[in-house]
Amino acid sequence: MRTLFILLFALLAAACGTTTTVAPSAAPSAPASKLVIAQTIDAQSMDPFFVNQVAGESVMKMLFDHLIERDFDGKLVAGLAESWNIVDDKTLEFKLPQGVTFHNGEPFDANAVKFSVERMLNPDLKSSFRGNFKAIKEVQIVSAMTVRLILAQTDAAVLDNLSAQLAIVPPQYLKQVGDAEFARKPIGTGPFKFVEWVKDDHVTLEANRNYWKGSFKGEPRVHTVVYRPIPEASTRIAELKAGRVDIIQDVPPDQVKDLQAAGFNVVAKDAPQEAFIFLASDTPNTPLADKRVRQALNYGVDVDSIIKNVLQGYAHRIASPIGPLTLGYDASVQPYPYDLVKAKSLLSDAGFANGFDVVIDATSSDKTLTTEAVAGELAKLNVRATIRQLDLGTFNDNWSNKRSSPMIAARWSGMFDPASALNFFAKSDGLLTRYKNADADRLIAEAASTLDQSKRAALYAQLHKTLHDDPLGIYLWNTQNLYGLSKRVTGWRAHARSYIAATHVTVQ
Amino acid sequence: MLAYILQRLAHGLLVLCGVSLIVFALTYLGGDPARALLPLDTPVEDVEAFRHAAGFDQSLPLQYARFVARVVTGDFGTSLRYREPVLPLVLARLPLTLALALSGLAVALLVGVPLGISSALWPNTWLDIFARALMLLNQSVPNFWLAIVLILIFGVTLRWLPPSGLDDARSLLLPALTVGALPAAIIARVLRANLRDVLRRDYVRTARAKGLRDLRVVWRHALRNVLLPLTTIVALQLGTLLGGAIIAEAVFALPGLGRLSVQAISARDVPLIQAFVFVSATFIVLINLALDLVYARLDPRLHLS
Repeated sequence: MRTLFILLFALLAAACGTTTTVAPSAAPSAPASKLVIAQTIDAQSMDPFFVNQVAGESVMKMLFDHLIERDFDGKLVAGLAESWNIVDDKTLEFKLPQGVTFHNGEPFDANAVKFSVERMLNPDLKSSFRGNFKAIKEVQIVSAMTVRLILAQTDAAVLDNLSAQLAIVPPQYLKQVGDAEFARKPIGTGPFKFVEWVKDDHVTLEANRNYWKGSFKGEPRVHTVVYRPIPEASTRIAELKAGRVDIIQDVPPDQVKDLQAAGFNVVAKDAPQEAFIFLASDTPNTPLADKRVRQALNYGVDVDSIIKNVLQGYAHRIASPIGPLTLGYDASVQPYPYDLVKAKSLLSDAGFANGFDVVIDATSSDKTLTTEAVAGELAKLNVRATIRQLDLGTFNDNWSNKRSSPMIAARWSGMFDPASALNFFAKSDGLLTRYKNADADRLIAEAASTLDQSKRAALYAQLHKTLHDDPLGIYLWNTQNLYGLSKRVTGWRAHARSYIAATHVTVQ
Repeated sequence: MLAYILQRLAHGLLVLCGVSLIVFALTYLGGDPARALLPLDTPVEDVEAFRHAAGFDQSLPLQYARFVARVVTGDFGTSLRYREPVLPLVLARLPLTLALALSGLAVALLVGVPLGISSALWPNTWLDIFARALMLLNQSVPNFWLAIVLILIFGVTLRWLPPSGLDDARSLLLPALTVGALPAAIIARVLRANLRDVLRRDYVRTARAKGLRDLRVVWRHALRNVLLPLTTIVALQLGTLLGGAIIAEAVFALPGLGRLSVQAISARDVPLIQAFVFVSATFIVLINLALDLVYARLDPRLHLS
C-alpha cells in the first residue's frame, strides 16, 4: 500500500462560512440494513488523534465531526461550526450550533472545542498531528456557543488542518474514562456510533438516530456499517462478487472492465494525490542542476501513454504541483507536451547529447510499475535510469537528510491547499527540497503571510507557472481512486479525501 | 530424563539469547525507526521528541540491556502503532495462527500419509502415477496462487465457503488447504521413498514369509520404521506451516499473528516485531524440545545422554 501517503492540508477558499440549521433528526424509518465496506488495511486506532491513514479516516469521519469539513468534492464547508469568521490574520471565530450532542448524550459546546484543541496540543498525548496546530496560542470561550482560536502567528494551513485532523471529542467522557478507554470505546458526534473493533478483522458501527441535521455527511440510511480490512485486491473482488461485501476500495485499474462486465459498478473519483519524479537540482555540475535538462525530461516522458497503458486511463496529467483540485490552479498552464525532438535538442544544448546515468529512489512498498514505465521512457533520451527500491524508513530518512538519489519517485496526497507541501519540497529551505528558485521562494512566503484566500489563489497561480517553467520534478499525474460497488448499493458518493463514507447509502 | 530435559531447556534459552541479539540488531539495519514511524511532514522537533520518548536516542548497548531487562519480566513494551502493551496483542493473535498451522498440518497428514503409503505399496500403478502427479503439482504451485484459485472456486463460483474473513470454523477450511498443500506433498514424497526402501528389507520379507497379512506387515513392521523420518519431516514442515499461515492470513484476511507481524514490520513497530519474533522463537524451541522427547520415545536406540 504505502506510497508516500502524506496527508498535507492547508486552508482553502474564501473564509466565509455557510450557515446551517441544526436540530436532532427524527429517527429514520427502521433502517435494519447492513453495509459492508472492504478497505485495504485496518484502522491504526479508534482515537482520531492517532489516525493518519485513509482507511482509519473512513471510520473516524463516521464517528466524529470537525469544526469545518471538506465536502465530497473537497470544498471547505460548515461542520460543527455553523459559521466561521476570520477576525484578523491571527484570530478565527467559530459560531457553534445549539442542540448537538455526543453519542452518550453529552452536550457539544465551546468547552468541547477548547478541550479538543488543548488535548491535541498536549505534548504528553504525543499525537503526530500536534505540530500542525502549534500556531494556536489560545482558545478563548466567548460564550457557550462561540469560540475563538488565537494564533501566535499567521498560519495559512490552520483551517485545512482543523477540517482534517482535529476531531471534536467529548470532554466529560474523556476525563472520566481516560485516553486508553476512550480509544477502546470512542464517542463522538458523528453519524454512526461505535459498536466493536476486532483488530484486523472488522469495525462495526451503528446508525446515530440523533445525528444533527445540516452536516454535509448526511444522515445514516443503513442501520449497521461494517468496515473490513482485506489487504489482497483479488480477495476484495472475490468478496464483492460473492455478495458478502458492498463497497470495495482500490480496484486495480486492469480489473475494472472485468468487474463492470460482471455487473458491478465502478466509481472513479479524482483526488488531489499527485505523482512525481522529484529531480534533485541542488548539486552543482550535475545534469539535473541545469534547467534545460529538467525541462527535457518533462518533454521526453510520454506521460499520456503511461496513463493509458499502465493506469488504464484513470489519472489526469499535471503541469506542476498545483493540480486541478489545488488552490491556485490555472488551466491555461498546460502540461508539457510529449516532444522527443525538443527534449533531445534541450539535452544536447545542455551538453548531454549522449544522455547520462541516474538512479531513481522508490519505496519498496510503492507500486513500481509506473516508475519502471518512466525509466523506460527516459531510456529513449539515453538517460539510463536504475531504480533503487528502499524500505519506507530508509527512503524517508535519505530524503529528509538530502542523501537520496538524484531522482525520487513519490506521491503526495491531500493537496487541496499547497501551503504545507510547498514548504516541504519547493521552498529552498524545505525539509525535502532539492531545488532553488528565488521567485518560488518569494511567492510561497507571500502566500503564507495572509489568510486572504483570493490573494493566496492569485499568488499560487503565479507559482504554478514558475514551477512549470523551471520544473522541480517530472510532473506525472493526479491519480483517481477506484471503488467497486455492488448493485444493491444506491446513493453512495466517493469523497475527494479518499475515505469511504457510509452516509447517503442505502442497501437493498 | 530430567537432566536431559534441563539440558534441552538450557539449549533453548541459549537460542533465545541469540535470537534477542539478532532481533535487536535487525531492527536498526533498515534506518531510523522514528522517521519511518512518523509522517514525513512531522516537524523536526517533534521527531526528536518522539525519538527521545521512544528511547531511540540512547546508545545501542544501553537500549539492548534495557530491552533484555524488560523481556525477562515479560514486558515487551508498548506497541508504537496501537499504543497498547505488545505481549497481550501478540498472545491474542496466537490461537488463530496456531489453529491455522495445526489444521494445515492435519490436511498435510490426512492427504500426505495415505498418498505416500498407497504410492509406495503399489508403485507404478495408476494410483502411484496420480499420487506423484498430485505431489508434483502441490510442490510447484505457489500457495498464494492456490489460495486465490480456491477462493474463486469455493467462495465465488460454488459459494460453499466464505471467501475470506473469520465467520466460523468453516472459514479455516480453505486457508488450511492452502497451508497444508505443500507439506502434504513433501510428506507423501518422503513417506513413499522411505517406505519403498523399508519394504525391500529382509525383516519385511521374513514377516511376509511367516505368513503375516499385508496390512499387518505394513502397519506393524514397515510403518514403524518409517515413523522416525516421518517425524523429522513433519518437524521440518513446522516452519513451512507457520510461513504458509502468514501468507494465508493475508490472502484470506484473517486476523492472525502473520497479519500483525507483517504490519508491524511495515510500520517499523519495533516492540511488536520483537515480541512477535520472541514468541515465535519460543514456540519453535518448545516444539523442538517436544520432538526430542518424541524421538527418544519412538526409537529406544537413542540414548538420553
